[in-house]
Amino acid sequence: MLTLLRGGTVYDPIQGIKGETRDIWIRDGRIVADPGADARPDETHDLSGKVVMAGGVDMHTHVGGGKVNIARTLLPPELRAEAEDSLRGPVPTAWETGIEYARMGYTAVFEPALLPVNARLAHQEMGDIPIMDKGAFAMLGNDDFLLKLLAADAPQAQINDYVSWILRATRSMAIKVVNPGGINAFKFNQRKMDLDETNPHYGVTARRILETLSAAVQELGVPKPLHVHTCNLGIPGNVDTTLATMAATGGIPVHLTHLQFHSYGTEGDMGFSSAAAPIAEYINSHDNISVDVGQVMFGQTCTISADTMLQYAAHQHANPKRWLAADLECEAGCGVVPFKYRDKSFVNALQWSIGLELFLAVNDPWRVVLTTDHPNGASFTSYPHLIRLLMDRSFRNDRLSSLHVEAQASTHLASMEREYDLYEIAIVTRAAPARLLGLTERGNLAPGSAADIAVYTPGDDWEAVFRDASLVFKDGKLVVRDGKLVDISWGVTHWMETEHDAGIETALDEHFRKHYAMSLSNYPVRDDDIEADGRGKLVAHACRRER
Amino acid sequence: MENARDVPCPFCGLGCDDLALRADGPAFAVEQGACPRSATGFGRAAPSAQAYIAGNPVELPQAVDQAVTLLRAARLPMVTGLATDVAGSRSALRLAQRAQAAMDHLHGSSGFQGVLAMQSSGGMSTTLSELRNRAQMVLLLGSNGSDVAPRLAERFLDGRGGAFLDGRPRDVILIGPHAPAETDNAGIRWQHIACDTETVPYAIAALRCLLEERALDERAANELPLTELAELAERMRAIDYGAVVWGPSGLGADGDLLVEALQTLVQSLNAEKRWGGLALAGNESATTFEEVCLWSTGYAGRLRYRGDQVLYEPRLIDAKRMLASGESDCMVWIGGLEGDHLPGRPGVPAIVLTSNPEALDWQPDVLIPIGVPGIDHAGTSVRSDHVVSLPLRKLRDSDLPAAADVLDRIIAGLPVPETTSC
Repeated sequence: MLTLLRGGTVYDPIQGIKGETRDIWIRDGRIVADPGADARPDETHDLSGKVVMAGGVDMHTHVGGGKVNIARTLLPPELRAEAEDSLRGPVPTAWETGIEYARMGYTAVFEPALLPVNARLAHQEMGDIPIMDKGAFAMLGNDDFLLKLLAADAPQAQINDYVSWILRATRSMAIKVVNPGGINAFKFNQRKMDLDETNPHYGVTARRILETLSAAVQELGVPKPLHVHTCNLGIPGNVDTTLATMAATGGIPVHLTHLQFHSYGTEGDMGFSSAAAPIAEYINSHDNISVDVGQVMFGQTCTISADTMLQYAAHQHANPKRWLAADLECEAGCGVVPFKYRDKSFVNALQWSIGLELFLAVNDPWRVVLTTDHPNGASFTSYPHLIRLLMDRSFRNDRLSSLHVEAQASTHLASMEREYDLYEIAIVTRAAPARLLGLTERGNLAPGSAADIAVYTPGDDWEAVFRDASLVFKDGKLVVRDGKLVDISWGVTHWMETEHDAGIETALDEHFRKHYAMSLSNYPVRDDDIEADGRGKLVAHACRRER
Repeated sequence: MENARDVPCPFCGLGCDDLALRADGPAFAVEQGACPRSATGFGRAAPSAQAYIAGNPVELPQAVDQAVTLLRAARLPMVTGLATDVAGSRSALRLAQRAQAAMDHLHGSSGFQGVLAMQSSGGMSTTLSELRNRAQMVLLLGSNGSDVAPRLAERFLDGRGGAFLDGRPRDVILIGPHAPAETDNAGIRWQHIACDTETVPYAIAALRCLLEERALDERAANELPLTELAELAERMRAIDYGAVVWGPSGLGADGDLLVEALQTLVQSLNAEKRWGGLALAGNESATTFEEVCLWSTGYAGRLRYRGDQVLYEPRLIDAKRMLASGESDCMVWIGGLEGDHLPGRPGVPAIVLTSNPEALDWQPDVLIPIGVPGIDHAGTSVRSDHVVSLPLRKLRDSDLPAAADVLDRIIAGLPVPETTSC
C-alpha cells in the first residue's frame, strides 16, 4: 500500500524542515523517499494549506499502573465531569486515553513512574490504550536493594548491572528517581529529606543516589538521561534544592521532571514566589540539563505521585476530602490526592504563571518538553489550550488578567514577549521528547521512520487547531479524521535493551528471599504478558555505549 | 505433565509463588508450600471438556450458539462469577458491553466495602512485603488470617521473616469473634480481644477515642472490652510501624462503614507514626477483575452498560439480588478460579463457564467447561494488595479452552449495540 500526502506545510525539527511544502510518501506503515514519477499511490491526500508534523510524543504522562486505578477509584466519573477542560475528566480509562491523545495528533505516551514490581500489570493496562505506542520509566532509588548496595559501598559496576537487570525485567525505556531516598525514609517515619540529608536506616544521601543512578544510566548507554523528580516537591523555597540537584551530577545528563513544582521561592507577603528566572538561567547555561514543565491548569484534577512523603504532607489540601497514600513492596510508594486548582487562588495562579515563565525563559526548546505531568498539573487534554498560551501572547495576557490579582503582580509573565512558533511547538511536543528518549524512528518524518503523522488545519485559534487533528496516521493507517476516530490500531511497547553480568541475580536472589513475597524467577515481565493478546508488540532498542 | 518449582498459585489473594508441584496422575500434588486451597486447586484433575445444553452433550460451537441466542433474547443479562485472569476479565468486559449487561464479581458484596470506603475517606495502605518486613504489630479483623489466606501467618506474620524487625516476634491482635487458629511461637505473639461482629465497629471507635484521649461514655465502659482496648492503645503508641488488616467477608453488615473507620484510624495514626491498612482481598481473583474493570471503565465493578454509557450503581447492582428478583433475566457465570464457589440455580436462563462442572448440582441452559488459569493455560492474576501480579503458567496439556477464548466466540455472535461508536 502506497500513500501520498501531497503538498502539506511540513514541520520536522529532527530534519530541520521548518514549514516547507513537501510531499510525504508512506509504504507499508513507513515513510519512504519519493518513489519517482512513475509511482502510482493507492491513496492520495491533498494537504495544501495544512500543517504536517510527526505524531506527538508525551514522555511524561501517568497512564498506567496501580496509582492510576487508585485515582479512578477516588474520583469516579460523575466527579471527574467537573473538570474544566474535558468531559472525560482528569483520569480517563485506557480506551479514552488513547482516543483523546489520538484526537490531538499524539501517537506515543510514556508512563514515567513504573513501580518495578507492578510492571506486568501496568504493561497490560497500557496494552489496552488504543492507537498509542507506549513505554515506561522504571523507578529506582527508594528500593531497599539499591539503598543496601549504596550503604555497603558497592562498586558502580554492580549498580549498573542492577539497573540494567531492572530495565530488562520490567521492559522499561528509562530510569526514574522520585524524592531520592525520601520515600524509603518515610517508611522509617522521616518526614522531610533534602539533597544532603540521609536516609535514617541506610545513611545514604539523596545526592549520592542521584550521582550513582545518573552515572549508571550514562555508563549503560541508555539514551534517556536519568528522569529526576527531586526532593521538596511543592515546597516554597525549593529552588535551592532544584539548583543543587541540577549541579549534583557534575555534568552528566539529567532530566528534571515537572520543573514547575520545583521552582518556588519564598519572597513576598505570602512567602511564596516564582523562582523560574534563576532556574531558567541555569538551564540556559548548562547543556546537560533537560526538563519538562508540568504546567498547571485550573479545574478539578487528581494528583498522583510516588512521592508518598510529600503527598502525605499535602493530604490536607485534598479536594474532595479523600486521599490515599501507600507503602509499596520495599520498592517505593504512592500518594493520590484529588485537587482543584483555582484561578482565584494566589498559590494556584502563581503556579500557572511559573510554568509559563519556564516555557518562555528557557531558550532552547530541545530541552523543554511540553507536559502537564498528567494528571498532576492538569489533564493531558488541556495541551491544546497550553499550546495556545505559548503561541499567542495576547491570549496569554488576557488569561493572566483574570487571575488572582496579587498573583498577577508577582509574575513578570505579562512582560514576556516570546511566542512559540509552529517549529518550536513541533520540537517541544514531538522532536525533543523523541530525541531525549532515543527513539530514532518516531517523532520525525524522515524516510525509514514509522508513519506516525498528524495533520492540522491552521487558524487563528491555535487551541482549536491542536484540539482536533484533521488527519492522524498511525503506522501509516488513517485513524483519526477531524478529531474523530475512524479506525483502530494498537501501538508497540518500546523498551531499552542494555547489557549486564548475570551474576547480579545471585545478590538479587538473596535479597528477594529476605525482602520480597515473590520469587526472583517470577518477577520479570514475560514477552507473552504484553504480546499474548495478539495486539501488543515489544520493540527493543539498542543502547548506545559512549565509552 | 511435569514437576514444577516456584509455581505461582492463583487460589487465594496471597499470591504465593514458591510452590513445588509433583505430577500425580491427572493432577498435581503440592510438595512444598502447600495449603488447603492450593492442595485442592492443583489436586483437581482436568474435567471433561464436554459442553452441554440443558444437560444434553453438544459440540462447543453449538453451546456457543445457544449462549448467543439466550443473550440476544435477554433484556438485562448479569455477568457474574468473574473468577478469572486478566485476559478473562478483559473478555468479560467486552462481552458485557456487547450484551449490554450488568456485572458483579461473586464477592461483590464484601469486595465493594473497600471501594465504598475509598470513595468516602480514602485511606493509607501497605502491601504484603512491607507488612512482612516492617510491621511490629498487626491488628486483624473479620478473619483469623488462615480462614481467608491459609499461609498468612507462615509467610507474612511471623516476625522472624521481617527484614527490619531484628528477629523479634510480631504482635498480632485479633479484635472480634475470630479467635487465633494458631498458638504463639518465636515469631508471633497472638492476642484475642473478643467481641461479637456487631460490636467491632464500637470497639474501633472506642480504640480511636482512647488513642486520641477523648472521653468515652459509661455505656462503652460497660459493653466493650475497654481494659484490653486501653492497654492496646497504650502499646500502639509505642509502635513505629503497624498494620491494620481485615478480611472483607467477615466484617458483617455495613462493612463499608467499618472499613472507613479502620482507614481513617490508620490515616490519623500516621500523624505521629507509620501505619498502613490492608484488606485480605483477592480470593477467587476478585482484585484481578477489579483492576481490569477500573482501567477499562473507570469503576471497580457493580456496573451496567447502556449504549456507550457505563452506569455505576454499587449499592443497586448486586448479582444475587438482581438474579433472585428477576431484574436480571439471564446469568453468565465466568469461572476458572471459582473453586467451590459455584452458582446456585437462578430462576432465569443460565450460561455457565466453569472449571469445576462436576461439582455443579444442577443443569444450566448452557454449560461450557473451561480451564484453570495457572494450570491449563498461562495468564496473569493480581494479589490481594492490588500491586503485585503473578505470571500464571500452563502446567498441563488439556483440551479445555480459556474463559477468554469462549467469551470471544460468544462476543463474535452478538450484534454491536447501535449506539456504540467504532
